[in-house]
Amino acid sequence: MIGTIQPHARSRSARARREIVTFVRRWPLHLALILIAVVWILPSLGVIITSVRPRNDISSTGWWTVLFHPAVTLDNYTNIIGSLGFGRAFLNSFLIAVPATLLPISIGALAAYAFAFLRFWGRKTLFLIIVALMVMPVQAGFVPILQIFSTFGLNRSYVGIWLAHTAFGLPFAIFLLRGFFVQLPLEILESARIDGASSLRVFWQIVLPLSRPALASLAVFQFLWVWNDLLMNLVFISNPVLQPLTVQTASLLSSFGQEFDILSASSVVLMIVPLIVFLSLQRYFVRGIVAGAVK
Amino acid sequence: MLRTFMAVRASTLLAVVVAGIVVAGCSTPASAVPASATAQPTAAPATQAATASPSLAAGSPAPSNPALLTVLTDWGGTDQTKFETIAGAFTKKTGINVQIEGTSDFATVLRTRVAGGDVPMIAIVPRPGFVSDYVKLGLLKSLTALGATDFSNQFQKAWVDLGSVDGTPYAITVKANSKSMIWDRPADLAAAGGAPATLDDFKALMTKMATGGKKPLVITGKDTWTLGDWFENIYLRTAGPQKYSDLFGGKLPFTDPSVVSALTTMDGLIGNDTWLNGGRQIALSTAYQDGLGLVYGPKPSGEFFMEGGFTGSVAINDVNTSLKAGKDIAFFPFPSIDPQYTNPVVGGGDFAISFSDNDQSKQFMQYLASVDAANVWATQGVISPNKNLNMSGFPDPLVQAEAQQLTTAGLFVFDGTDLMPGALGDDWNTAIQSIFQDPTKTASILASYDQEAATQFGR
Amino acid sequence: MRNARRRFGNALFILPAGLLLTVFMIYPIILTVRMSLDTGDGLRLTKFIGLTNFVQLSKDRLFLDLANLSGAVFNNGIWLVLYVGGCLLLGLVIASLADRVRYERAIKAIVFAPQAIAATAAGIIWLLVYAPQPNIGLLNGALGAAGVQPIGWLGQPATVNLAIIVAAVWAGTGLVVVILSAAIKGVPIELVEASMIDGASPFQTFRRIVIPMIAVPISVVVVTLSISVIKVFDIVYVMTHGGPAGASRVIAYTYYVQTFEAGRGGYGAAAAVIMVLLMVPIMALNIRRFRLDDADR
Repeated sequence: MIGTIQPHARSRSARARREIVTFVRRWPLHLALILIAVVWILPSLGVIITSVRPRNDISSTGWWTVLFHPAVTLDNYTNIIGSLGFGRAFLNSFLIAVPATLLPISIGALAAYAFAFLRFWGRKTLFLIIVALMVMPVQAGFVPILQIFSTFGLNRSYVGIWLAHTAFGLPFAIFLLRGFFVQLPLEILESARIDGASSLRVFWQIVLPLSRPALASLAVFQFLWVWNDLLMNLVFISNPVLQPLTVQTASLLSSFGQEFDILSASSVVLMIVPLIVFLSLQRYFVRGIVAGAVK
Repeated sequence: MLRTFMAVRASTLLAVVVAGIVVAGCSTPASAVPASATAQPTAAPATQAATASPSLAAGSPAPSNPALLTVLTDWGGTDQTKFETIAGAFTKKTGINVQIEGTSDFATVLRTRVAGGDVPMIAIVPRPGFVSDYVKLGLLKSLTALGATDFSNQFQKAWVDLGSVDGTPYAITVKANSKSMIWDRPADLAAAGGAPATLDDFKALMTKMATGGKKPLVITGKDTWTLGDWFENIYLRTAGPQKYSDLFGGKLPFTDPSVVSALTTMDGLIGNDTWLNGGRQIALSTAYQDGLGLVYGPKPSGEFFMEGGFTGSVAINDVNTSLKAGKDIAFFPFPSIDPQYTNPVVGGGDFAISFSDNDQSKQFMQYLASVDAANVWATQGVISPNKNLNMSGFPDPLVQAEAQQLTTAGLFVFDGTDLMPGALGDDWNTAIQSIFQDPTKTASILASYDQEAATQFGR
Repeated sequence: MRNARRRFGNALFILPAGLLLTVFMIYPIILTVRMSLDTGDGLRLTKFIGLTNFVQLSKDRLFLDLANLSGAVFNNGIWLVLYVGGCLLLGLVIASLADRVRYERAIKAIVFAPQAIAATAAGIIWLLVYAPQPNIGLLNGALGAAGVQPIGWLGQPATVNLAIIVAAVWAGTGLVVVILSAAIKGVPIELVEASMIDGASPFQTFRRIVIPMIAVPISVVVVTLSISVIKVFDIVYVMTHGGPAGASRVIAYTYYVQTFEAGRGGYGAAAAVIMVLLMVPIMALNIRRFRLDDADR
């Protein structure tokens, strides 16, 4: 580490040569890292390749022999989208995830603002309750929530699942946003108050705009959380036609055994949105997930 | 300066957030009405809901619409299509539209829908255990209350009894299956000397095939129910019908010597590496349909596959569409073991139950009990146990043979695990899987399962 | 007076959240506790039976079997050791190795990507890896090439938990890498140099200097992973449905089977209550940590 730093300037070629030598000398390190990368990529690569192979190839030769059997087809995709309803399920996933992301963020931001700046009765205790609720297993609420839905007829539509995801997402949303809000420069808030701005105004016009990174991280985290959720959708959406991709994919497992043609295509469809989010919003994504580590 | 800057940024963000909320709000009514979603057959997954009548697509009938009937089934794929034909015939006759919802996670979906207040009017349940479960909760309407009183003229008493709780009939058997058959590859079987009649013949046949380098017997132990079916067939043939009904009816302990003996016979058959395809561990990680692929797929390595009559249609429709029924795929009856029990058949079935006594439910249950419905089923290759059924209406020789086996059975018993309440049946299949996994633990597994059974049967 | 009204107005900010949390979390949790003391047939309060469900659970072979070291509780224990340990160890190794090369970002992105995808997808990805047929499953294909008979990884109790956990570690290590990699970069280079100059080997330096300096992030990681162990469900549901023979059931799976498949509301609720109880120490820890953080500020 230290030895590579040289105080004297050298010719470019000499430096390049030196770098190559260093690189070669450290081959065990590079080998280990490349091995790790391969191990991490291979499983997903298998599913992606399988998803574009003809059904008969899949069951007769391993996907790693694809170069010797280079037939490629989109049949598996047309199959799941055409006759197995994955187009509709894809739409459903959005219909569930978008409101179930916006609701907890808006409601959570309001509450977080109050916990960060306002005084009201029981503020400390209430916040500790929220910290505790953050790790509450969803199972502890399933059956009673179903009964509430039954009373108000909420699980025939998405309203029920939106509310359930919102409620279970709120503690973390409040926790994360409050943590961000309290670090904002107080002077700006106070000068606004002196100017006579109401709490609501300060919230809308100052706090929220300054918190864009936190809101974005939270949005990415919550969106993926809902998009990837299987269990809550399984329980709270009673109508099979309204089910999202996760449930639809899992149901292929039980009704078809292990048919990797449709399974692989369906898992690629299920992964595509999260991976796009990951690649395009990597910064917020990593922040959101890391912050969400406490959940 | 700063404030102007902030205001601009704030307004942008405000717009975004507000727009988001508006979107959320707007999509509420759109997707909050399930009927608008469910009523579009094109959007419906094939394994899932589809509607029986095209007229549904246009309207958006709420579930309260008097002309709509909702049915929940555990059928997917071709089974669903077959049921759509029955529902279509019903719609043609009565003008009542049927909305079918199929789900592979049937027990859970029915349970959550009942708990969540979104109860289907009719459910087609895969085992009688469900009938008693929901009767106990006071949720089912009796066939008498539904006006389906003709059922006793249409079905033999055994089938009526299967759908009755404490003497009151609640369910109509819509579909019957034999589970006592071994599927084979006819050419290979003929070459090896034809169908075996007894267990010993069967073993000799497989030994012969094994010396030719084959591992003929495919076992799909990943799906526990297939192991459960093996046990039921062997138990019926070794212990007889009385002990069979006592065991699954909660009167005989699962630690009974007859159970241990049947399990030993079973392990000698399906746990024998001489003919077991892939060996025990592979058998335990092979699922039903994958196993079927080993016998009927493009590169077959096995010869024999024991499962119910539905296997033929799965093999032809889902495993290998080039199969010709009777030529590439056929079955012979499960070999006999104790000669005093002649022609014994273990069977299964699906039952229609009604949570509602509204007009459309009544009409549908009455229709399902009629011979008309049974004959439409037959055209779809589905056997209704209706005794007035026209036996020549089946489309393929495999179903014809199965119907023959069912009607000529020397004795008929229902799939035992399907008769047990709650999760006992599944847990029994699981216990058998554990025993197949490690036969040395037989005694302790049986003892611990029997404790659970004793509690739930109130023994 | 004005102050009181102001405080009332302030409370309006938390009203929507408070309402939702009360109706959809706090009230349901109380009802679930009540349900765990009931038979709960058909998921409705039916008959109060005290602690019977908990007593039965403790004797349920598939929930806790101390004699054979199996059952859902024991499996969660295996998860705790192997999943938390596996993620932590691999995460530490990858973070510190990647720290020393230029393509660090690429390596981290590759390892982190599975974090984005659903457990359902991860489950299918690994079902394909473990497929018993050597011409479908990569693992058995590789074993076959080495002349080893195929192994039914998910078909036997001896390997099933390990196999699922490996899949989960594959999905979960990325988080550890990202957290620990940031922490490792925070270790002052002077300390490392000083240690090396004193003649310590890189490994000794890592163990004596680096590890103690990142102890706090490590503890965060351990807590995080433990939470996901208590909650684990999706990947088990997808890969094995708790099988073979219930050998891969976890507590959350017992809850699911008993409640929704068997309709034994009380028995299932008891399993859910046990999950909540297991979370209590973590809640306490979170609250304590929050209080410390808050006092720091």
